[in-house]
Amino acid sequence: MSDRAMSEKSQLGMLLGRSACGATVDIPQEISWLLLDCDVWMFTGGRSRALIDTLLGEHPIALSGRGMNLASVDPMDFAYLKTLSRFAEETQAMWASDRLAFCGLDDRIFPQTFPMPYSEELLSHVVSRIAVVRDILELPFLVENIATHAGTSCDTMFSNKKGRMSEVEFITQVLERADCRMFLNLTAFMITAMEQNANPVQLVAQLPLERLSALRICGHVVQSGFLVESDTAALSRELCDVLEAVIARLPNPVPIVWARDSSTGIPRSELSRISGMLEHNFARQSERGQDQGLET
Amino acid sequence: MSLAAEQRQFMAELFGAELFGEHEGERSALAEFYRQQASSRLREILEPIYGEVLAAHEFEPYFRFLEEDPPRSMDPIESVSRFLAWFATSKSMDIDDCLLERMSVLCCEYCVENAPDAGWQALEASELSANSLHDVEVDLAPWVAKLGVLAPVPAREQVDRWCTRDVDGFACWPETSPAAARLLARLYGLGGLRLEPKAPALCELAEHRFLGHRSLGQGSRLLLSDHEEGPVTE
Repeated sequence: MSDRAMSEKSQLGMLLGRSACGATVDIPQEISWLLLDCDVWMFTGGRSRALIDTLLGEHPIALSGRGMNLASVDPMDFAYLKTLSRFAEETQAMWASDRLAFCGLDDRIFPQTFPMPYSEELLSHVVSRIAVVRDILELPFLVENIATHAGTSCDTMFSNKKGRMSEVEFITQVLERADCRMFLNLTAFMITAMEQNANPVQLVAQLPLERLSALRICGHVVQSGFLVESDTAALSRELCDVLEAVIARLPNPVPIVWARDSSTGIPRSELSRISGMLEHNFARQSERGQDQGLET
Repeated sequence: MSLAAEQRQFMAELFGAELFGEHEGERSALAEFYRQQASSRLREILEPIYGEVLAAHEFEPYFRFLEEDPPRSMDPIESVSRFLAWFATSKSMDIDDCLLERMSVLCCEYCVENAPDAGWQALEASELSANSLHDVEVDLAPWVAKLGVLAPVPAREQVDRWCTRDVDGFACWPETSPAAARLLARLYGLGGLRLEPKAPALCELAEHRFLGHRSLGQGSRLLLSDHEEGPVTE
């Protein structure tokens, strides 16, 4: 972990994605760390890169991408990993993450993650690729879930139904076998649960929460009849309820990043609501920790 | 079915048999959804590069190109590079040349502002010609200002400002300069061009690259100067 780790109370982070490229970004004072979409920033120079250099001295930084193509059967892209490693060193990133998904095949790369059948073959494949990643990156590596729509028609797109696992089983197995930590995309997780008519809070409780290192939240919208994440939509009431229930169950405070389009800014009312919720839960968790300390 | 076969089948349903092998039957609603998602994200990436063309609803030629030959890297410069190469060989295709040339210029402008040296090397390898730019009456003056290529020789104070990465509202980035200057030199045909690298180290680098650069062509000349010593003339 980098020396530039967050202070204990600094929990709320902000995503700097493509819309921040070349723009002037206003970082609200409630924001104490930044998540960079490395698939955007590590390939930029000039004015865009200067923005990162400016922010480096002011906020701890973590990296998130999809370009590792973790679930793809294509060979690992070592050039990508080396570029990422160099960028991580330059930005003194606290950690890096990538999606449990694939985004390309046959040497074609798409800026979109695609779902996958949660099979034993895929599990072994992903675990072995994470080991390669960890050998190259000299910083903690987290895996992030995606919205899969797995409970509905997605199943019709993968023919082999034998030996399938649930998403929770698959994630748990990956974390344990690869011995890595999780960046839980709560909105994506909620979307998957909603499409399965399942309770997201109950499903989250089945995850190995002791391996949780960070949470991502964002809004969601309906497109072509499917729920999708959106960095321009407001946080939904459902998401806020799920978030509150989840962080109340966490044994320790976990950094949360808000994936909101920085070009439109984060609405003050939403920011106050979320930061207030986090402060309240942080205080409650601290009290709980103190009580446990007294008991022992 | 193996993991590889499943992934190939999935991608074939989304993007077609030509790219990913056989697929029979109609595309499912979910496949169509993922395809649309991929398209819209691709547009998000390309918008900063081709914003002007996108705004004019003239994106289709480029999009057709991407559908036929999707990106091979997360780095948008990779697509830009292949597009320019494709552009150079597609003159006979039934596509509006002016539009394509304008898009090529937009690629260059994007590189001026955002791309590291690799972006310029891609452009340099693209066979983009001075004529293609002149045909569409592109005003190169803003490029010149952005690249820090000026005549007459700028004052020391101005050179120092370039080194601090901003001049008159235009970005002027050290890491783009050598390759950018090579491209610009070719676009101008080097006639009477006076190039002013922004710092001695860059000057040395540019000199090293330029002087051994055969693609400059016979009769071309490049006037390099160190800002402390004034222009070098032939």
